[in-house]
Amino acid sequence: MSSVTLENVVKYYYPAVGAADSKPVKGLNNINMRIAEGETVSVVGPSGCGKSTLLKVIAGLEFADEGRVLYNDFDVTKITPQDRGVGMVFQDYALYPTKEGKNNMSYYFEVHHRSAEEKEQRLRETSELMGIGFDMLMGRQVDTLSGGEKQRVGIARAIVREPNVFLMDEPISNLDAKLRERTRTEIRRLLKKFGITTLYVTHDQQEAIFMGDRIAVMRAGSLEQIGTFDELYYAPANLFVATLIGTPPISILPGELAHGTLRAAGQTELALPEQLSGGLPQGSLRLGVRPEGWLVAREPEPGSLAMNVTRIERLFTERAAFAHGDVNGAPVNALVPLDFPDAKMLYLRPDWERAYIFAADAETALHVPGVPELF
Amino acid sequence: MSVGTDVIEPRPAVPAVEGGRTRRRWLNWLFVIPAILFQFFWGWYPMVIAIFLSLTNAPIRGAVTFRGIENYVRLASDPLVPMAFRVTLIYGILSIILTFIIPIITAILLMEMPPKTMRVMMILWFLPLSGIASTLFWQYLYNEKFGIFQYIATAVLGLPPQAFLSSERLVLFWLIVPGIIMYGPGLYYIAGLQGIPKSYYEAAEVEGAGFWRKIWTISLPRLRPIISMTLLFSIIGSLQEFTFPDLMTRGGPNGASRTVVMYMFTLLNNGRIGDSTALAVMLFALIMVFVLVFRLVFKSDPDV
Repeated sequence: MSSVTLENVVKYYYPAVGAADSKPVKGLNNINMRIAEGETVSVVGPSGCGKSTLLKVIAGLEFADEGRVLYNDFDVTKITPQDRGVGMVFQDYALYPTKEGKNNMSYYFEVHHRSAEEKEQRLRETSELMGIGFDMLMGRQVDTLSGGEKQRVGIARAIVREPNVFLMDEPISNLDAKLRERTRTEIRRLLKKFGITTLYVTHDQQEAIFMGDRIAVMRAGSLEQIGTFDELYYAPANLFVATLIGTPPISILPGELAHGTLRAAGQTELALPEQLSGGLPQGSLRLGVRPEGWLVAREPEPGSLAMNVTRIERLFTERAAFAHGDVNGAPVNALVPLDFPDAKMLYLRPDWERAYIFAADAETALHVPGVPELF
Repeated sequence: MSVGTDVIEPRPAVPAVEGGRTRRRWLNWLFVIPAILFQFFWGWYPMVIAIFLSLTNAPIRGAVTFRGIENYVRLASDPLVPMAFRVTLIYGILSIILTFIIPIITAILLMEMPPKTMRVMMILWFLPLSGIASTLFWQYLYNEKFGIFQYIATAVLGLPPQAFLSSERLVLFWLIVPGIIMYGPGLYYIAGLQGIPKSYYEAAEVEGAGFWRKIWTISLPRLRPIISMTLLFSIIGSLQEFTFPDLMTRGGPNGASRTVVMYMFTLLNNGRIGDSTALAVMLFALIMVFVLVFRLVFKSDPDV
């Protein structure tokens, strides 16, 4: 087991033959990252952001064009995947179809000419770790297994060889919702048990939050921010991270700041607290408020934003409701109590303690609430 | 039935509405009939008639008279018949050995190339060449006086002049060589290889598998259905070979490259229709034996 460090990793991509623009594209743009020993980091981002490429560079299936990849302090940048000792789990399972579950797991031992006793012992240990009923899966042809069962074999195959690093590429995206929930709990349990350094790639933020000790947010080949959920949520590095993390997403309203007053959404004048407006530049800004950051009223009040309500979504299981709508055209979501009556209009005031301010023309965060100190 | 339980009645097999939306049986037949008619007139009917004709005098005009196995007896005493079968067997086995493995290896190697190179190589490999034009071209290459192979043999390798297609001993080998290059089931293999998800290879790589092990444990097992199909087709095809040797050598020298189908054609041209069909039936039986052996060998498919 080892820590993983990426130093200024750059990976170029060459567009398809015959494409109009044949200049290489940066698939990974100067990635710096350190995953501590035994830590799980989930990587989240929209499709095509380079998260799978990042995984492949760490596995050695792709080589970094610039920069270094280190396991502990050992430089593996140029080392082939065969010699890196990683365990990998794939979205489409990638089990060898002509073999039984057991033979899938023993592939590594065959390739490396290990003794039969060692193989048997590791298979037995892994089977015990994987939990109830796993030894039954080992005896079956993989074609006869269901998706969830296949992925259990896939995970077992990755851990049976005691990997230095454990890499998972959207391992549960192919499963149905119910099974996904169960499998992710299962994977989390196993990761905690093994304490293996893990990189978990997903496009689902819920899954990323659930799996990772820390979450890395990627976009267009760049690492936007890496941190715990609270850090990403309360102190996003930029507008992209702020909008990606959180469901329903943060509401963003354009505004003009002049003399301590913010004219938001082109209509209402909001008085900013002294300590907030002091640090901000005058002129155009963007105000970000999360659903729970609105103070909601049913009657107009001075200094409140009028929201056209399109729908109130009542989440009975969560004992809460979300009002969806817009303020002067900008989409807004607000958290309301579950028994909140239906309304055509709502009047919102931002809770300035929980407000985010972003630059108008760049994505820079000018002010974030910061991680609350709860204890 | 006990009280208080919901009993689910088995659903009736017939739709509740008379003439409901089940596809009618005659409609199924309507779709199948063209294929059956085609298969009947160009497949089964000629086959049955050939077997029948092989037992008659099979005149072009006049009454057909039943002659029993007379045609077969006559063929058995014809020394050209065993010769033609010998040529066909050697040609078939040689061409399967030489032309079967190489396209698989080539396809696998092609897949390892960078995409750009691969595309160029595929165009070269699968150029839609006219069969007859390239046959004539090969004839020229083999020319004993000014062919390029003769040049390579004498001027480059310093060998004595080679007979090539006029050599009774080696003519079959030289006839196979173009097939190694031109025969193209490679396209099937490439299609099959491209259908293998990349993650299989990645999974094998992170487990330490090198190039050959990946081929052996992933590519070949996955190509198995395609391989068995092309092998079957090339067994049948090579035992029925006619066009290529006919164009290249006309069966010469001294019948050293005269296949069974070529001899059948000669008999037909001489008006010996009964003998010709009898020979066809014999070849049919031979091919069936090969196919049965093939089915027995390839029966155990681990995928199923």
